[in-house]
Amino acid sequence: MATAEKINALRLILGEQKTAVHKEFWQAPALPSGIPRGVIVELLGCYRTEWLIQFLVMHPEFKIFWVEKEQSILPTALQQRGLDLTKITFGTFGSNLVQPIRRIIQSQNFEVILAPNLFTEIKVFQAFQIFTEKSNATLFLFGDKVASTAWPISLQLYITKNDQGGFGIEVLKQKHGKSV
Amino acid sequence: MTVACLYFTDAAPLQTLQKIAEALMRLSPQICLGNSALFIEIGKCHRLYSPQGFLLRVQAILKRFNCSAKIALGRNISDALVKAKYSIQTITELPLTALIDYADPFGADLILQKNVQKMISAFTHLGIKNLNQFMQIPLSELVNRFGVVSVLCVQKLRHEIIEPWPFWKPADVIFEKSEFPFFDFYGELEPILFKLKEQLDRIFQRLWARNLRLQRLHVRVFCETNSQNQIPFRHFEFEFITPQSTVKSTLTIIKERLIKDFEKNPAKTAIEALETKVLLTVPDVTGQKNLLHNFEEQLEQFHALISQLAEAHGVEHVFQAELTQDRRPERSWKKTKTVGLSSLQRVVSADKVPLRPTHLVKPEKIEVTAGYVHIRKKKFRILSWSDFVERISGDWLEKISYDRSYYQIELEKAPTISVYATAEKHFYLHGYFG
Repeated sequence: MATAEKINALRLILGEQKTAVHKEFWQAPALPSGIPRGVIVELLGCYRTEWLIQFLVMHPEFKIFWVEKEQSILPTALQQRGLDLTKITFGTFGSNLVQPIRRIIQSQNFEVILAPNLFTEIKVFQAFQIFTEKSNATLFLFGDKVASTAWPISLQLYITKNDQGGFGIEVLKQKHGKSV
Repeated sequence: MTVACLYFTDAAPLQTLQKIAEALMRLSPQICLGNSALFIEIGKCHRLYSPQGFLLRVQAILKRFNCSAKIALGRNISDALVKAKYSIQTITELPLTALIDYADPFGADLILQKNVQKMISAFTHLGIKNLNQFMQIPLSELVNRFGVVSVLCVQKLRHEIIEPWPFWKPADVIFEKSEFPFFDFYGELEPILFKLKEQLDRIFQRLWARNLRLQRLHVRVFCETNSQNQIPFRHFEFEFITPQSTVKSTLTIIKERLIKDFEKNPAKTAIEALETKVLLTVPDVTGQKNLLHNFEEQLEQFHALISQLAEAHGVEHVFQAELTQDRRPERSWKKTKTVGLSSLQRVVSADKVPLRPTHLVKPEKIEVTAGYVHIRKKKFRILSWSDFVERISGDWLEKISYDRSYYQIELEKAPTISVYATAEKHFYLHGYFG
């Protein structure tokens, strides 16, 4: 059980119903605790895109904005895996992604925003956290090899392929817990 | 009824015709436009000017527009047109091709023109060369062969049909101008944006009343001229991806461009005035707001966002994807204009091809040795090599054809990659999974 989950459970036992966090959670493949809504999630590992696609396939109602530095994702592959391309808007904005991502989140048009994690400044993460919380959208950041140490990131997942051919998920950080 | 026709031998663009027509409105309000021709009804203006006076005034207006036209007066539209076009006063001398001008003087009905042309070809083949000979053929004989088209032509030649006068009025110009006479400022954007908002408020109120949306806008900033700044104007033309209906989103787009421009070329002299002109509008959706859902608002917000992103990063960088029939991974999809969510047609061709890698890279030459793959001088151990081979070849008739055999290679501590081998057995990395 993640630390956040434990704290939440303790609060419930102590009768602090009001202080217990009640966030909306989305079902996710191989992750029983689910994905909280309105937070920043960082994904790492070799199978992060495949896992994320499966997560998006589970929620066909999502409107998605896929931000990239340069075009790399293959839309044909997305459709082959069951995603509806009409629900996805793509944007290739080069290295400076702060401004476009801020606008996309603030527009409150998309439930899910996907972007590479090119950010180092804590202020940027802090701004994203406020905006995602306000617009109730989840920002998925594709991390590099090392997990970011930025505190506004709520959930960090390291996704690999297990021996059975499914996803092996290691939760590196989980701020918003959910009882399973 | 007296109709004057101005026939432009050098095909004048529609915009020029409209400008001339607008200038001619001082002579008569009843004006209409044809294909390379302009018609004015002057029969009711005989107390204001004589036909000779009219012709002189028209010549003066044309000179101002640096245009030349053949002018003729007739008793109706088609009569005036053929007289102007062929410079002949009597109908009987006219060639048979003039039948098209009689049948369709505005040049708008292509099917009618085609049918009349067929009839003209047939009569030319039979030796009939002018309208005088055509008029001598009994109508009953014409009907048998050419049907209603021949009846229409004969009736128009005999002036038995009154040509309906199409309504024309100059397009509304929505235009705002503000001056800054009392203080000098050198390119600070705040006063400009402040005035611009005022202007846009008024513009959008006018558009809303007309049930229109803004598609193209022109903003002009007037700068004081001196030895340092010789150019008095700065022009900004905005072609919006989606028609705009709110001040807020439009102002954000304009602000984006102005900031960029003023950063690049700071204003060296005082700014004197600001002018905004609507260049193009499109009809808005009419009807009461839907009380059961807010899809319209969502779509409006979506369009505003896309327009802002396109203005800041370029239209080609914000898009939706549509699949094509091409099997090459890089050509298996194409960018489409972001028209709105859930409005594209789905192509199902992707289901018929093997599973593609999630990420595509520009083909990069790699070395494959026994049990290892060398990518950018890094060595990766091969765990498994797919048995299935997808072969894609094509463009056999072109100078450069392609022939690729695709494999999937599972690597140790790295994502599974998609590589292809050419006919010369060179290996290229083309994508990776995950």
